[in-house]
Amino acid sequence: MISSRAPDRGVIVIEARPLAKTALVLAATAACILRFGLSVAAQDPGRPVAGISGRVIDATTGEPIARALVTYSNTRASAFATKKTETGSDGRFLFPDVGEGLFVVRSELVGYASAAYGDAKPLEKFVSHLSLRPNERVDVVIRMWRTGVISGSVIEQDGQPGVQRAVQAYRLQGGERTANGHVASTDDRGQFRLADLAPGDYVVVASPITAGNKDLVHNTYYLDATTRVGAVAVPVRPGEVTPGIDLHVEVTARPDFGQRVGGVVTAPDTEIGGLVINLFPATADTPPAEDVRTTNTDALGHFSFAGVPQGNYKVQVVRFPPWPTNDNGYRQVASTQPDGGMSYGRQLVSGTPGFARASAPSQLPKGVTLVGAAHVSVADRDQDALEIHLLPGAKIRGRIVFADGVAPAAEDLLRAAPIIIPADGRYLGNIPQGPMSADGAFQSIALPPGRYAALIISGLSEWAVRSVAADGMDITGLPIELGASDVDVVLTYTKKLTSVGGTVRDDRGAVAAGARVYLFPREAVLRVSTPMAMGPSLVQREQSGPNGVFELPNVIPGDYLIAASRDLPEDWMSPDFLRSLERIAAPLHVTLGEAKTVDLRIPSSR
Amino acid sequence: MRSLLLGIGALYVIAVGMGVAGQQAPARDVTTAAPPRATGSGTISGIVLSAQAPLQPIARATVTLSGQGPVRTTLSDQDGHFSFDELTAGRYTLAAVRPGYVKMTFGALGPDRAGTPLAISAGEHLDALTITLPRGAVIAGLVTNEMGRPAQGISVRLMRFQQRNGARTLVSPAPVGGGIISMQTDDLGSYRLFGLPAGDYVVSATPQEVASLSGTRGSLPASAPAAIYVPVYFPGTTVASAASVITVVGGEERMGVGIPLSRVKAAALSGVVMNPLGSPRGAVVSLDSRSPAWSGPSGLGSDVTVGDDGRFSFSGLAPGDYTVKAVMPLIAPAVGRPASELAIPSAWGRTEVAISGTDIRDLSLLLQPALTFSGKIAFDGPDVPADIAGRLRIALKPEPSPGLNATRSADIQSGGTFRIVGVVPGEYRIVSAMAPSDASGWALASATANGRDAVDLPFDIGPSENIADALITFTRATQQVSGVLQSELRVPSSDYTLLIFPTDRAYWRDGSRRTQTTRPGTDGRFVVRGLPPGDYFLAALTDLEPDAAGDPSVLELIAPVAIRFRLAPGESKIQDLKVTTP
Repeated sequence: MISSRAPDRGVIVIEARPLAKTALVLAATAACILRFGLSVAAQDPGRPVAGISGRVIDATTGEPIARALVTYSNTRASAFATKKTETGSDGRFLFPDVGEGLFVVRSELVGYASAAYGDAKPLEKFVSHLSLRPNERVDVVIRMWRTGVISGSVIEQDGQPGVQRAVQAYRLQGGERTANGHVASTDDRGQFRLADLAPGDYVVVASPITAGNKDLVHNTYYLDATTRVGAVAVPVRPGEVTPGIDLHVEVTARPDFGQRVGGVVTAPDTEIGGLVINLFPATADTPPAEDVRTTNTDALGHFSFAGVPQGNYKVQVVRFPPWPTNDNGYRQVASTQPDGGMSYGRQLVSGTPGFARASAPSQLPKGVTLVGAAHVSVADRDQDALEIHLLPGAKIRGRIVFADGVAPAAEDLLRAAPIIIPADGRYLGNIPQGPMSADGAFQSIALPPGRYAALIISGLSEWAVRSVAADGMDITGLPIELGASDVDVVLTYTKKLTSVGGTVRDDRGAVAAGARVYLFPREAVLRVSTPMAMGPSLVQREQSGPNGVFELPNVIPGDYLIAASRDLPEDWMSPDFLRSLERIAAPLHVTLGEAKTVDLRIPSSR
Repeated sequence: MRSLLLGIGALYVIAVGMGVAGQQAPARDVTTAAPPRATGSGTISGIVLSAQAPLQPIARATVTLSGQGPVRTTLSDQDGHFSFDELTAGRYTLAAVRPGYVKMTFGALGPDRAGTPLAISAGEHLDALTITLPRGAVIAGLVTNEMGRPAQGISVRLMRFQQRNGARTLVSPAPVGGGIISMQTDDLGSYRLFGLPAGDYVVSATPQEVASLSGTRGSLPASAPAAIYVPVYFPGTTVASAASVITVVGGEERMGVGIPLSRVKAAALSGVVMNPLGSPRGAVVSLDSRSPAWSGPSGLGSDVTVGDDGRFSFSGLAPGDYTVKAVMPLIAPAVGRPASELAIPSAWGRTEVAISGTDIRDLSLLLQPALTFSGKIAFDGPDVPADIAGRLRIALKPEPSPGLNATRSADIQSGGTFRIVGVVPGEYRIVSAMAPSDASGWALASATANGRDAVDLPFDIGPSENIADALITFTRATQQVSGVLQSELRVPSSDYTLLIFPTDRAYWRDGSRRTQTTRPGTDGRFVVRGLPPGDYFLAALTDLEPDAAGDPSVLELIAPVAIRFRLAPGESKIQDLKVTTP
């Protein structure tokens, strides 16, 4: 995944990964290699080997894909328990004796978009799990989509080629949110070629942000629009080139359109020079990278953006205190990407990479976080008298408690330091992350008001969130709301896992594979779901495996409805869709520590 | 290639002293402060043209004007015209670039040459200036894997053979003229490098998989990777010196420069660190490649910290020349210690190995104590500054730099002495500077170690040779040479490059502060500051290749026709020149 936003100057991101792949990447580091083909199963055809077998096929042609790298991880086991293998010439693979558990199986190959078992479309966001009982054997099909190419050229106003222009493609997901920015640069003929694109619809834009050439003053979207709204989506089909995507750009010396947006930043007793000011359309809290404009305040706190087109904008300042440098020169950070994605990693502050790389959690920077924002509406006049008053942010203070008496090993607990991120994908840049104390206490850096989540990535693999409280209120399944004052959060962990599982069957009683199972609260007001909630979501989804089995391993106790359906809408968390499921759903009461079993019916597939 | 050395005649090295006037100048230059940003009434305007016939205007070229106040930028219009107004009097540098063309400075003879400074007086108009941009050349081709299929995502880079202190070395060129000199192959395996200045290039392809090196504590692991990709040079060799040179002229499109990748047998290396003074535990072993296609300055990663048995091993080594280093940190790693402190050795060991597909076992690295370099700081003049410890930096800089050793800074004591610990034997120079905020004008005059010059010439620190008698002298006296260059018709001339170099051949080295070049401005005036006192040659040349000033063979040809002069401490010499025909 290429982010179109460069890391902060003077800083090298040495390890960063998108959230969805965290477990896989962590796991891959400890992987050992097993080289089994179908031959293993063929050696003893009479007795099926327990485990996961399957076939990787081209989703478009149905042809088997050879030499794909298939990996599995067992979410029930430690996050590091992963194995990999390669498909044979018939596209088949086998992982024998994987034991019982809840598995994710993924497949990668150059020339294809990465895929996982259960994916119904390229780059499916929702990961399906495969539930296996001891000594069970399942055989799955993994579909992969070939990547495609967008090619075209950048042409300047008099027909001259636009040379060394950055062209970016953003994949449209759910019709609006863009992610996966791919970048290419035009050659001396003005031509570009964006390859390795997962099939889908893309917004293609020539942006002014090439090194040293800031003479292209606005974004130019295909087809010759200067705003995202006017952009025409460019389709990419599996294995095909979409040619002729020409972008006609206007190169001028000075912005002779739009207005100036500027003003001054004020803050008592604080350095107001050199602050980073972001300007982006106010329509979304998660602006795509190409819509974020950045400038710095001068020594007196003044800032200015030239050539701002008509529209409503937000001007935002978030100044985290200066970074400390820990003993090995690395610090832990979480970044919100402008497209709403997240990445975690360590950044090299100083010193030599490769030296003493063991990662001790850094201390949080000392000092105050200052935040400020202003909304501005640009019409036909300059708006250059904004005043942004900076105020200190508020902190999230937290504690992890263990409900069942036994606490995890101190080492695991220390590694469980949560990463605090905006739950609504707001763009905040890099957020410094603090350590965890031995008694399970943590604290965020001061943050601007908004919704946040405390994400625990490692250390507590056998534990599950039982409840989350903020200032004494139960917020399990919801994000943390941070206002102007600090919030105290208690995360209660339990080893008593509460789960819901079962088998989906059709009218004739045969197991139904690939059915979608939806679990949602009986009370409509609780059917709230944010992309990053504290603890398990109250609205969950799974897919039945080839054995008809589904499993939701981590469920908050309560009253639910559960339904199996063949529908897979993009907006499956929406209240409307969930309401439409009510007539076929069964009620379900789930108590703490229970492994609830429920068998579901689904009409026979057509 | 030294194309300028077609013989001394082609150089027109014809400068004759028109009268040498020497005078003792005040010790300080009084005009160093940047003039306040003021609006003047001068103008500079002109046209940007394409150098390829027919001469056509270039629209939307980025034109920059620098020299007085902030850099100003504009775009040429549809007819190639540009203009700057409200200019204060002073000297300016004018440059233009457009992607796909090669960046040029006004008056320069090539993209990597200095231009002619534009001198304007108050209210003066310098109009009708012409900058011609050569169309950039293109080198393009296909990178294929060992099966002959297109290889995607391969890093392709342009390199260049260069003379470095007498040796033919393959280097990465600075991105001259704004061209694209490195890129990754696309999904069709093709690359297209463009905007290139005419010249000689080597093309290298480095697969990502090349980073197969891994190091471990202890003995050699049982199996190592059988075959790995290594950097390949056009037309398909893994040996840098066997790379073909591709010569492109301005605007040429050289297609079909294909590079086939190949796998080579990787080797492993194992050995033991031996410490005569105790356990080798904690010593850090690292590998440096001496192959030019590795882009990093040094260090391949995969450092190994050995245990009590001192054993280390590396696997996945591509064929080539390596240096194996062991360093015992002076300070034990501990929480709160910056990595830079850990890099100071108390003991060191080093050996060089050549890898060619065969494992090397039982290499031994003997740790030897690191050395101390210390001495005195002297100030030549009254009003010796107080509190020098916080304002002065003294360091030993390895030669060549970046080299195998690190630059090591001194602890400066208030009594006027300094001390550098953790020094590994090798060639070094002393570098030193006062904090820039220091306004008293002290500058490094000289430094000696073992009684020899240690500023302009590298000196050797041998094994077990602690040096305690170094002497670093600061002075407030500065020297400069200035004058006017005139043509035969006695009008100011700017079409020459002035070269000043020392008469002492020992100083004829790359990057010497005693060798300087300058271009006279449009008014024929030139000023050269910062030369140490001494005897110099001065010559006016029609052209000089950028790295020729460090090439002794070039200087040897120029010396006989150059003017000779002596620069005394604190002297401001005025040296006017007149060009004559040979």
